[in-house]
Amino acid sequence: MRFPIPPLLIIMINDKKQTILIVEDELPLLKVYADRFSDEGFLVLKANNGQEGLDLAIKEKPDLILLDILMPIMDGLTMMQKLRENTTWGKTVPIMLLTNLSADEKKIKKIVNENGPAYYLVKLDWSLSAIIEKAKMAVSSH
Amino acid sequence: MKENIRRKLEITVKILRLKAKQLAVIAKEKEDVRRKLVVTAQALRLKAKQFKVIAKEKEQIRRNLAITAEKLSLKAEELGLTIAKKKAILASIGDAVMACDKEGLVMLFNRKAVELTGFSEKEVIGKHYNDIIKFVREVDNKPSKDFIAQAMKTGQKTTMADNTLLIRKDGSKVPVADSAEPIRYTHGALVGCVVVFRDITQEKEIDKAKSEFISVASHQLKTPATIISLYTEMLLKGTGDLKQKEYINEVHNANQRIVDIINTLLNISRIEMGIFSMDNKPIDIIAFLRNGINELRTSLKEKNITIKEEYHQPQHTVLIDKLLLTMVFSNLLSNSIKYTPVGGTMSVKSQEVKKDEKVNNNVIKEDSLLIRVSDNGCGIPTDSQDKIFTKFFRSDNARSKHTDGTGLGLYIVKSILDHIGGHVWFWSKEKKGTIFYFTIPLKKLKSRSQGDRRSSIKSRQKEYIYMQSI
Repeated sequence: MRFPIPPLLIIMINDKKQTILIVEDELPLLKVYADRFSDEGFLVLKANNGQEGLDLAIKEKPDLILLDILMPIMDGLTMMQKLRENTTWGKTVPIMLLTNLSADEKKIKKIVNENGPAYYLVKLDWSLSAIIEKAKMAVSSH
Repeated sequence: MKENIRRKLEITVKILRLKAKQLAVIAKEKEDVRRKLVVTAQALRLKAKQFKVIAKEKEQIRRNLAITAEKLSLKAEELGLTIAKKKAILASIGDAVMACDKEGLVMLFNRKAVELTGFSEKEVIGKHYNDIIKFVREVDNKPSKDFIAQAMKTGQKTTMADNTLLIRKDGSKVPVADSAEPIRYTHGALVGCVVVFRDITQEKEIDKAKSEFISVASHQLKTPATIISLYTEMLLKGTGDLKQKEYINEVHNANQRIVDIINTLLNISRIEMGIFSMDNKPIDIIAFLRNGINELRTSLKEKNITIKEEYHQPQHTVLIDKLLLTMVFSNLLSNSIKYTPVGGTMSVKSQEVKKDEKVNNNVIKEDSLLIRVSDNGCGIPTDSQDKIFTKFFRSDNARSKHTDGTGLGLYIVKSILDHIGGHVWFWSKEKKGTIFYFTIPLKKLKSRSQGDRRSSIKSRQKEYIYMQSI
């Protein structure tokens, strides 16, 4: 006798876990973003700076990258540009740039526009649930 | 014969009479001449008298003239002095001064104006100001509004718009601030215009630094504020007990960070405004150092750091503000702990140094107490070494190890030491370690009590090292 496969299971089989790479040098922020994204069913990869983030991204090819801008060793904008320039996969992965940087906003927005699909989010203005919503949208439209 | 004689006598008588007559005539003539002479003499005497009077008058006039001349020359000298004084005053005015007549031709161009514009007085005097002095707007390099013409037209004082640049003779630009004031005679007629302008490069830089300070300071606050906001969002959504405690702890830490930043910023503004009141009191510096280390004993134990203490005397009294010194020492000490690896070693050393003595390539400026805080931590990268005392500067390796530093600690250390007349410098090599040196001037110690002075002389004669390790 064949049992019908429950619909939820179909979703789980067809829809493998989305992977998100979070690159953030502020450890408390890294932790809270990571916790919330795993709560939402994402597979979370973590990096502390742009260089680590770049290496991990190339190795793991996540579905989405949440990227801080001001970081030691390599900043987020540089990491994004390197990813877009040097790898075929990296050209299209959606990137959400998160920052509290207030100066140079014009310059950042310009780089973001040139490096799509990319989004520019101000940390203090974005709640976790808003970020989750935006992330899901970015992944699904990809 | 007799007749002959008589005749002869008669003739003689006649001759004599004639002679007498002639004599009488001569006498009369002479008398006339004499009389005339007398008259002439009288006239002459009179003339002489008159001449005398005239001469006297003339002498008086001459004298008066001489006095006037003297007075005049004095006045001229005075005037010359006044002019020279006025010129000197004009020349010495710290701001550039240019005066032009009502046609706009330059009449005066002081030393500072020459210095600031690069044009010599010769090149400017008599020319129209518009042909020489060019002001442009900083935003678009377009000529700024002719405020000088406006002042002359309206007869009102005008000031230049903000962010104006002066184009110098060599083409370079200087930010300037200035004003134009019409010159009037007392009855109100317009004579021209006096323009005062000055270089505001420094003010601009200070202004920029202040804005940057505010911007960076508020940026520093944004991160912990974000942390609090996100963790409270997690807590409000509801989590397990274990996570809850962890999250509350994060909120607590972030709040502490905000408090620390605010306190640091307040201290900085106090130092910079010079309202940090110095409360110099005699303290035993050795006990102070030991105490400072003891307060950080927990952090030292946590990282299993060995700290070596070497003091030049068992005790040494100095006059200093304890609070300020605490900020210096605890900043250096906690920095060392932060950037020293687990199981690392640190040392704190004190020593008396003399003026002109050299310590690690640094010449001591006056007799001081030298404190040395060293560690075998990550060190300061060479390319960052000239920036570490800069406000908000953090080196890459410091940022990657401890993300929560404010970049204000060493700035505060330097500011305080500048304030109290001390000095700070360092030696550092990446991955090897860092030694910070700072000095406290000892000159104020002359007011020490007799007994204290004696004991210090004694201990100087027989120096020994007091060592303590844990």
